[in-house]
Amino acid sequence: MMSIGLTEYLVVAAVLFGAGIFTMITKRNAIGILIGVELVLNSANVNLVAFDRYLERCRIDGQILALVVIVLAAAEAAIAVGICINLYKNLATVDVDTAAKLRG
Amino acid sequence: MNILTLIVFLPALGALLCLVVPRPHVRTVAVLFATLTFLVSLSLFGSFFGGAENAAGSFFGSSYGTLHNVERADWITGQRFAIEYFLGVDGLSLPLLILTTLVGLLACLASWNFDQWKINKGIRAYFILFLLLETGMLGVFVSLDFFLFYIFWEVMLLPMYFLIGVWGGPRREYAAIKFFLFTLAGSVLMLVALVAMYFYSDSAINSAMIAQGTPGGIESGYRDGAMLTHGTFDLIELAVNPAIQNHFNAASTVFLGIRFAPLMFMFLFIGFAIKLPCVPFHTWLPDAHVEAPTPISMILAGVLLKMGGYGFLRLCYPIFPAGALDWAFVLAVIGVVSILYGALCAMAQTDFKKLVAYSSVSHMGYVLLGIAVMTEAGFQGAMFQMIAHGISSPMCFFLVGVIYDRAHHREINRFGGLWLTMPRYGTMATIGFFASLGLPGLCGFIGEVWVLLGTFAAGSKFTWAYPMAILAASGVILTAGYILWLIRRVYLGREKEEYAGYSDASARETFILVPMAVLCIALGVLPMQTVFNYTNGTLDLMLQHIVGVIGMVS
Amino acid sequence: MTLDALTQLGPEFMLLIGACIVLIVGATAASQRVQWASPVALVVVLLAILATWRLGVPEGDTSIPGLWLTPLTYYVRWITLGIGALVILANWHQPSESERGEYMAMILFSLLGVLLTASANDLVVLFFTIELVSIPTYVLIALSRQDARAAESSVKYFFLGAMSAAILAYGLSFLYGAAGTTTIQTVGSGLSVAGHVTGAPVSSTALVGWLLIFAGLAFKVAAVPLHVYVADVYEGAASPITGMLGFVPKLAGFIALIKIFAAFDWTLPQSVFWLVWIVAAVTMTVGNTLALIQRNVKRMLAYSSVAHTGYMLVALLVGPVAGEGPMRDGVAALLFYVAIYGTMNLGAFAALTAFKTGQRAVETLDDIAGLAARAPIAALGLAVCAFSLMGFPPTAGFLGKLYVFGSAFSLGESHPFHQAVIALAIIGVINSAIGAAYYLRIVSTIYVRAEDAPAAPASGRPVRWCLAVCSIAMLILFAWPSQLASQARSATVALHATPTRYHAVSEDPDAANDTSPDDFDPGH
Repeated sequence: MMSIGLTEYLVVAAVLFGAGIFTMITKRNAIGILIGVELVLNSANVNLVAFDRYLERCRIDGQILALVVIVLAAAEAAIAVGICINLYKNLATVDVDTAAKLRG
Repeated sequence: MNILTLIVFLPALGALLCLVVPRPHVRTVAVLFATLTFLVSLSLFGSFFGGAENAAGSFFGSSYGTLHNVERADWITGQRFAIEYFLGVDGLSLPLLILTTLVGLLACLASWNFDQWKINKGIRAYFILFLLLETGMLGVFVSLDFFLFYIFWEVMLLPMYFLIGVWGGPRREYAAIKFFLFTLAGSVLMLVALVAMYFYSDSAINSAMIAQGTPGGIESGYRDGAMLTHGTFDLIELAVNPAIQNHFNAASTVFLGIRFAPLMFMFLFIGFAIKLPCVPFHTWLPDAHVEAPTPISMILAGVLLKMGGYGFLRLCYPIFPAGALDWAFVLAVIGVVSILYGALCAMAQTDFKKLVAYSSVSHMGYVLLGIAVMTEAGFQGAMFQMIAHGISSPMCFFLVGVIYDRAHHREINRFGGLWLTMPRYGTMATIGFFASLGLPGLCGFIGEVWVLLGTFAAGSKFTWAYPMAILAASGVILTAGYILWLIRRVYLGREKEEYAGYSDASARETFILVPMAVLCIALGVLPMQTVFNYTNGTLDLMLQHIVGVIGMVS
Repeated sequence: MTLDALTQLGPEFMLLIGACIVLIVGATAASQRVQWASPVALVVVLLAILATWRLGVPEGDTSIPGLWLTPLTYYVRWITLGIGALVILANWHQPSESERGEYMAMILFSLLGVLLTASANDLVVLFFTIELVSIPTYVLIALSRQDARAAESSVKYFFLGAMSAAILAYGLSFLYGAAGTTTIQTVGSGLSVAGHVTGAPVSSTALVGWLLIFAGLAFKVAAVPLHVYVADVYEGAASPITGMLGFVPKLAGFIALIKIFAAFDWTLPQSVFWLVWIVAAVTMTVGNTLALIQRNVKRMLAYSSVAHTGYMLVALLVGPVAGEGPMRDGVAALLFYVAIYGTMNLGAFAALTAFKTGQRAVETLDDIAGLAARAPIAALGLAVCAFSLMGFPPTAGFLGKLYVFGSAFSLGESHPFHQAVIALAIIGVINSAIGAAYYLRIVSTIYVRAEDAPAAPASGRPVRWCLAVCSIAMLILFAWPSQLASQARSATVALHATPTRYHAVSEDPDAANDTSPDDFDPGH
């Protein structure tokens, strides 16, 4: 039976990271993009916790960093909602492709 | 206070005063300060007095680097890093300094009728910028710290840009931007050279300190008792310190894989060649001249172009003799091409001012050629040509301005018979243009002949010198061609009706023209007493130094 | 951690408490009392400056967990608070509605973030402070004006910012994994403990972390290819806040980059070196080229901001290895330059804020045509800032560029990449000549062109004060740069976690000029 090690966790995190970036690039809906951001942030969390669990030299710091990331993600989400509402008030949509006034 | 500091900042002080005096008195203040600067600068002759005896004597010292009226102080210092406020004059800068204050004064007088100009708003700003420009120009000629030199060099651009851009002709925006960007492109290369030279001199001094085992520093090349512990911006030190010279000119010293001396020489050369200007960097000049108001054209032709030649003699040649040798042929070719191309272009012009502008390109070609061949007569001739052109070309531009003020056009072919209408003006014009032509007995002749003699004399060193001399000499014929043709079309012939009512040169205009006319003749008749006695000592010593270094490294 | 230790954070606490007060006053007050938000914010910043002055230079104090108070902290406090005060002046009447309390509080929070970034000694704190700098700026853009364009630019800035923060977090996780510690001071030795002795190739885990961190921070400093948002954001946001956007995130980003580079002790693997090299070269070239074709002054200044990032990256790449003093130490040059850039950039935007055409803020070149005839003093201020951005003497911008490129030239032949760095500096010098063309177009437009639609004065005195201070500072700092430069120099002293590589730096700047046996060492 295959044992689950650090590498597997890192791979999972990398997949999450890739999925997040892909989501951010392809989604047009502001909320969709936000979900992509959250995926990437969580890939960092998976990494941090995995390092703490499997590496001798890593102690508790990684888990603290993961907690900080979670808190900041929440703060960011709050701002995101505010900004999206602001956009909706102005354009009556949260489709970011519609917001294309600024070109140079 | 040191007299040089006073000379450099007197115009700036005048500019400050212009800021506060009532509007009608602004021009009076400006003229007053320009006059004051001129008078104070004349007092520098005091230290050079006695001319002939001193020319070969102790006055210029026994080697390049004897300075007068020196002022030194630290300006920006840091760890192993010092920029100095370092001023001084020698035979190279003194005549150009006097020329600057003189042309500055005359151009200031030429601006007296500002209120009658087409664009006559902002008299205050105009004279402030004018005086700041004078400060910048004077600073370039007297600063001997490369960094300070560079600052003045750049700072001078700003007032010039605004003076052309705001008070110029119809295409002033284009002309001003072109002038600015061309010069800036040149100074960017100069900046690279500035920084590179600093750090290369630093490593030269460091290794000399190790080689000599003197952790207290190495001795300065020209100042008794002064010690060098880190790199320097001192232009004289860079030229005469043996440790620095050996490092700079050695074949093994490379910058980005290219030999250091020729590369830096070229960087500096391009910066100065744009200012001179010589083909192919000359295209800003006709535009700037045509659009600039008359007094600014006078300054541009009389002083700014000389900075290019001054830069060659102060930086390129004494600091990078090895580069000078490598590039001699290329430079001579550029010089000859400038002479011929400038003359041919001048011949093709129908715009009076453009013609004079192209004639400047041609005349400055002689300066480059004379310097490039590295002979005594060549250096002396180039220097003389700069001074002579500094007097004759502002005169020509002012002559164009006088007639433009009356006719409001500059079409050569529409003029005719002006001498009959305006006899006093016509006489002056003839002196001015003949001086530019190089008629024996007038100032233009001496410089050209000396350069040609110098080029022939270089025949023993360079096989290409004879053909160059012959080609350059043929330029004299072209010059005679376009100037005589110009005089025939504008001043001779039958009086034209549309110009019949024109008043002759006014008292102010005559007052501006007479000193220049007198100098045109004086320089032509008494070249030793007026120029050579002051310049040759330094130039000859510099040449000895250059030849010495070339002999040492090759 | 004692109360005494906490007083070392005086300026930070003042900003925090001040921001909270402004926020509360703004949230509860009637519109009359909102008028007080700007003066209160200014007083808070001035008090923080006073506290900085009273506290003096901290000597590498680590008594507060996660923070490391060094001369860098001191330097960053000065420049951030100084320019922060100017930012508040520029935003004095911004936004005109009832949101000024929140607006000013956000500015203060963002400044607080920069201050803490400079002291951060822990990856956790670093990530947190970078976010503290960024999040208020998203809000500021949205609040800056009632406009669909502002909403759009805040959305663009937010999503790209959030993405870069996420990438940064992902990168930090790898760095943590490689080093086994989050304390920045010991990350370097952590990497060595884990078998990666300084100078030897860095492990691939650390390298991946480094690359991701660089990518995340490249967004903050607006380096190519993460610069795409800059022009749109600058155009969409109101002018006065744009002046802040050019400084605050850039400063925070560069401080973070300096800390990360210092953790690696500036011993870059070849691939990383070339990556930064290419990013720097492309950043300045792309920035200048795109700026050349703009008609909108704000977009022009946006791309100019990208170009300036390129110059700063040159100094970052040089690092402190070449020697001491701003002509040699790349980090000191960078810290000097970022302060100069922040001031001149803010000055240019303050000049734009001071005018309007019709009901619209001035934006395009046509809007400012012939400005000099109507407002000679403001036009002069804008011209000084433009010349400073150009890097033209007699302005401090010239010295900034000289120090940056000088540091690149100073790399001795012992440095493995010295030719490449010099080549990069030459690319930079050529770029600054290209850049001159568009800055000159601004000057040319205000002085030479005739006015079509004359711009009218807008906003009140504070903006003009801001412009005046910025432009006068550019001239004064040119004549007397030594104070700022020596502060920038001493700020770099404590950067290194492993002081082995860093040569002994004498504490007394005067002693530096004396000839000491150290100067005899050719290895400098």
